[in-house]
Amino acid sequence: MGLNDIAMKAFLVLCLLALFAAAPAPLRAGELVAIVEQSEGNTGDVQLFDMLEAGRVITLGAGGRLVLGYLRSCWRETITGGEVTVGTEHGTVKRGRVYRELVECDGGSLILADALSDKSGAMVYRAPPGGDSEAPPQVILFSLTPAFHITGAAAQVTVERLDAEAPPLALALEGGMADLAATAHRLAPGGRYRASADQARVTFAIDRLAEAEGGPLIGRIIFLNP
Amino acid sequence: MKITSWRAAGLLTLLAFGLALLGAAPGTAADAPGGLSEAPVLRVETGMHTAKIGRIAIHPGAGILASASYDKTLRLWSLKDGGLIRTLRVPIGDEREGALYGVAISPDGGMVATAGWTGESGDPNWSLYLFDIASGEMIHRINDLPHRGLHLAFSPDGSHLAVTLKNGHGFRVYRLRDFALAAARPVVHPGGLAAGDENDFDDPNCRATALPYLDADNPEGVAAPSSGWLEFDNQGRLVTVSLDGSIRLFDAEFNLLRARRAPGGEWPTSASFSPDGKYLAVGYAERQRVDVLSAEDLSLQFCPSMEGVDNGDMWRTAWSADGRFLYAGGEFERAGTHPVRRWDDGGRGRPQDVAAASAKGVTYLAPRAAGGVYFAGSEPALGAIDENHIKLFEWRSRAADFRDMGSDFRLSANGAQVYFKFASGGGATALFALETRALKLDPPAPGADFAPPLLKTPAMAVANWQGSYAPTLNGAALPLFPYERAESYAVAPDQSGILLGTRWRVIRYGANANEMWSFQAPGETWALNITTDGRLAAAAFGDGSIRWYRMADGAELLALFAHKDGARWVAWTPAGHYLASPGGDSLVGWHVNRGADRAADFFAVRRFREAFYRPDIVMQALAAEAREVPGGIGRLLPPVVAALTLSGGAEISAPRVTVELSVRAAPGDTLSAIQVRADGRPIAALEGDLADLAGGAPFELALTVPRHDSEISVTAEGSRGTVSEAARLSLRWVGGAAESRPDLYLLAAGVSHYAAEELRLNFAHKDARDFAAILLAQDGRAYGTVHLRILSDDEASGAALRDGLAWLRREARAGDFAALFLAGHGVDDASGAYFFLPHDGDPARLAETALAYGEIKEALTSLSARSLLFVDTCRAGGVWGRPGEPSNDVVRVVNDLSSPENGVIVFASSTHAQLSVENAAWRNGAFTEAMLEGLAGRADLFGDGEVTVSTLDAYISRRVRKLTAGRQTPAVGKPVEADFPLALVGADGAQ
Repeated sequence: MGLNDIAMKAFLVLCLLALFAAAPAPLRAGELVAIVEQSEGNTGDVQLFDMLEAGRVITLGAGGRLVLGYLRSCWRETITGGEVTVGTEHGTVKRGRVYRELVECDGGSLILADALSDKSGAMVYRAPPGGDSEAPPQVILFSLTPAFHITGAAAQVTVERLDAEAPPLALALEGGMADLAATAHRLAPGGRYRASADQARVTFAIDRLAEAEGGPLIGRIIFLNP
Repeated sequence: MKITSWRAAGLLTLLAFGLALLGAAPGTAADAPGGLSEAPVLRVETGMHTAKIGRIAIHPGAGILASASYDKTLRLWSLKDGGLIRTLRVPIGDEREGALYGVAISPDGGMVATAGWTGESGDPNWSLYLFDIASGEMIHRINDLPHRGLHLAFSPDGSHLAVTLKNGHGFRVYRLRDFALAAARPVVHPGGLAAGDENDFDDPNCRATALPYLDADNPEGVAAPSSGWLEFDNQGRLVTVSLDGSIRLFDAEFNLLRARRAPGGEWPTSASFSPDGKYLAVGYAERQRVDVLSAEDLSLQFCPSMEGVDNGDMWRTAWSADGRFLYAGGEFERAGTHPVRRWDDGGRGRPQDVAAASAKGVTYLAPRAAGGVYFAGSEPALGAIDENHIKLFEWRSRAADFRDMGSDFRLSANGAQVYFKFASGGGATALFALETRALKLDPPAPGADFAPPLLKTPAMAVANWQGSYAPTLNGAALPLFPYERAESYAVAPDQSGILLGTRWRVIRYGANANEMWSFQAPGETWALNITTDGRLAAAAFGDGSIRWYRMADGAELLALFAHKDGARWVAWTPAGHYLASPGGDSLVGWHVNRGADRAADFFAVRRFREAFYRPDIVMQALAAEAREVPGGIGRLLPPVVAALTLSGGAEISAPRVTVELSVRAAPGDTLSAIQVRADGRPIAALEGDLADLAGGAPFELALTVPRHDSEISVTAEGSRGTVSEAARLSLRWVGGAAESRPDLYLLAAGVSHYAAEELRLNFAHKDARDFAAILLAQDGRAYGTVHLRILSDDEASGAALRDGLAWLRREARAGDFAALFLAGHGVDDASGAYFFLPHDGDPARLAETALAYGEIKEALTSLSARSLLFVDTCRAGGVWGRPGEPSNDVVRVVNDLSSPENGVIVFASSTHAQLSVENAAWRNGAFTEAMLEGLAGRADLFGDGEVTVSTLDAYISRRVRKLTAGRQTPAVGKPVEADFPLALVGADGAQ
């Protein structure tokens, strides 16, 4: 067996490992399944951008309004009053009201950081063989203004275009979040990008038909953990 | 009054009928004669009228055609695509109450008015209803009409609504600002009525009538003539005609300008202003004549050519929108159709006829903005003729036409099988068998065991009956209501008398021509038959239904409606228990009045399937020992999604849309949820405390819809577990096309080799593998990627099946397709619940070992992906202890899963009591064999390279019947109208 054959076999093994790594595993109880997209009034002890685990019970007080985005199922729930139990794909509400809508998101492909992945059951895909430019993007976003959720000490996230010449964007993080919607920057529909913060990086693409700026968080969020 | 024709009698009969019904004949329905029904009423519903359409109204700006019918509905149709927008229902009664004659649309397109038999005879309480077109809600009821309203028209400025009335009341005008009466103009001629210049011209088309204006027996003319027509011109002048022969012209303040006797004699029935306001075209009942008068002085100008019109009449007239052409139509018949005649040169030119109404006469004409006219017919029918005088379309009744069926209406000895024809003159025949729950098209001609109606015996001779007002039995006159017309009869086998069917009733007479009982018919009684034992009577009616009655007292026992498509049917008892084919459970429903001042609701019987889908009850309905099983839907009434509109119109280029809707909870119930689906798949839901939304207040929902053409449906759920009818919107995507194709996730399970020898089948395992293979070939074609999980024989354990369903739920996402294929044994338990028997299943322990329908339903209905079920489980018995009989009622599964609230597309191998056929020559079941052929390309019926849900349905429907010599009929349930490809077959070859 020549070197080329060995290299090819190694490549194939790596691809298989990568494919296995990318396959979403079944969720387990206690796993993080949703993110708090909006929080108004008395929402108990949850805050904006909190990650929630399945089974969590949240009691909303007077005037409480919560918007949760479910990362795998792409259901987005607006809960007004009452008590919500976070489910694996959507919540269950008592005494209040919930409006649940399916939004465009790459459910199941949203990558969670190492520290969270034990709870999420998803696995981090580090360095794709062949390089970022060649491999398929790890996640598709449906907005021109992604948001970035970073755990750890990174101070900024850098966004680089992979399929065209463009100056990289450096976004300062506040509380672990950076939202392009709060800036004047807009990414290109169909464009392929890489987001990196310290040692972690994720490749993503903007859906070719994406037009919206802002929009549901689960349709445009990237998770990184340097 | 001398009766010269059926039409003339018909124009005068309704009053007589009403008066007669007030003295209810013995055996009539328990409801009080006249009056609104307090209890829900079962009605046939095909999506098209089932009785005569009297009037239509057009609003080009709003793109709406409105039709009013004797079937008690007012329907709004889209001029753009012909789709039914909405059905408006007035309060109705069991008798004639609710039959609609007239309709008009307000100039702004926001309101529609209707009137007809909408009150009680003898009371000054006849009603006129006004509806909001956008919401379908009743805006107002005017309830002081002195008699039935016939014809309606809005003034050009939209400030007034005029209605003509029966019985000499002329017309009334109401002010729309406050619905107050603005003018009342009865048919009186204090100064006499000028005869005019009816024969001024030496014109062969102005044929002088031999009949005097005044009948010798009635020198005053028609004592209380009805006014059947009224029209405004652009200046607000108004013309009306009445059955005393008068034509009256009023100014914009409703002051009489002129009046004269119509040149053509009595019974002018229409008078249409030319667009320039200079002329009036007058049509007549029972006259082959149309007059064009001056709209200034009503003088006769000319008579359009009547060349070739040698029968009937041209009683309806209309001008083209530009005035170049004059149109007329009516009862004139040629070669079996009823033409619409057009004259060019404003009516002076040569005539040109086009066959319009196919079956019965033309009842109305309305100008078409693009040229030509729209027409309505008695059949009922709606159609259009374009500016080149070519018929564009004709929408016809979807009910069978039982006229002239005669001896082709046959009953088995016990009455449980009926042979009939769908249409006169060579239409398809059918055999319905209650015991096997089967409707068979074009069956072999029935033998001697099917008896035609007995028409003559030595002791019973009926004469002068067909179309007659004076039938006799053994020379004695059979008493009928005035103007009641006989259409059918049957002699009782024991010669104790006869049954007579008229346009209004079914009547049993004794041998002495004495009436024993009668009841009002749901339509014209076109055919009658009596079982040879004399116990049961069957009748075929003008509404397309066949009904069975007890000869002893005329009590209704069972009804059947078979759709003209020959596939769908429903049978029901008076209490509402029903048995239906796939899709048949939407063909009949409950009309629920909500009082005199609100639009009524309508719920198809499928809304109550849990309690009322009762094959066991229906199949016993004709038994001698049958007892009526009470029904009652009162506590089962579902909520109503009252309105659904899209902000910004139906063409979208972005997936975020906002819909506006309103919802009503059922009386005494609360709302628990509102569900929104796209192409049957859930995309949004509102749950929890919805009290503020349950009263019909409008609200908005923001949705993300698919980036392709789609159908949005909204249902509401009550706290009692009830589900509303779906409100639907069709969206047209004009944005960019998606780059990627959806994925397909297929779980295919087939079990031939069951552990128990007696359960073994031949090819179910192979069916699953072959079906998976044919769809795998679509990888990269119709689908981005095809993901398979195949479970064959011992692989298809209960645990593996459940794991497979979980796999579908886990993997298939919004925009993808998820499909489940099941081949093997299906079994109903004692309660009728369906189970699929896995390899390790035990028919004696279904709950513990088999895959329950509830599990299948939960998995498929919770998916965001478009869901399909292919089920071939009507295999030979053995599991049920009855060899040779199917072990499950798959129709229940099909109708439930494919309902709008569940949204699953279902292909089933057979229906009701049929077995699925396997054949060694194909090495597959017939259903799978046909599916394989179809998906490989034979179902590319349009040659466009696509095998869609609809084309596959059409292909396997015929193919399976052919493969099995008619023994097996597959069924498809589709929750949405939208169609999409299942396979792509192209120029590079089929799969």
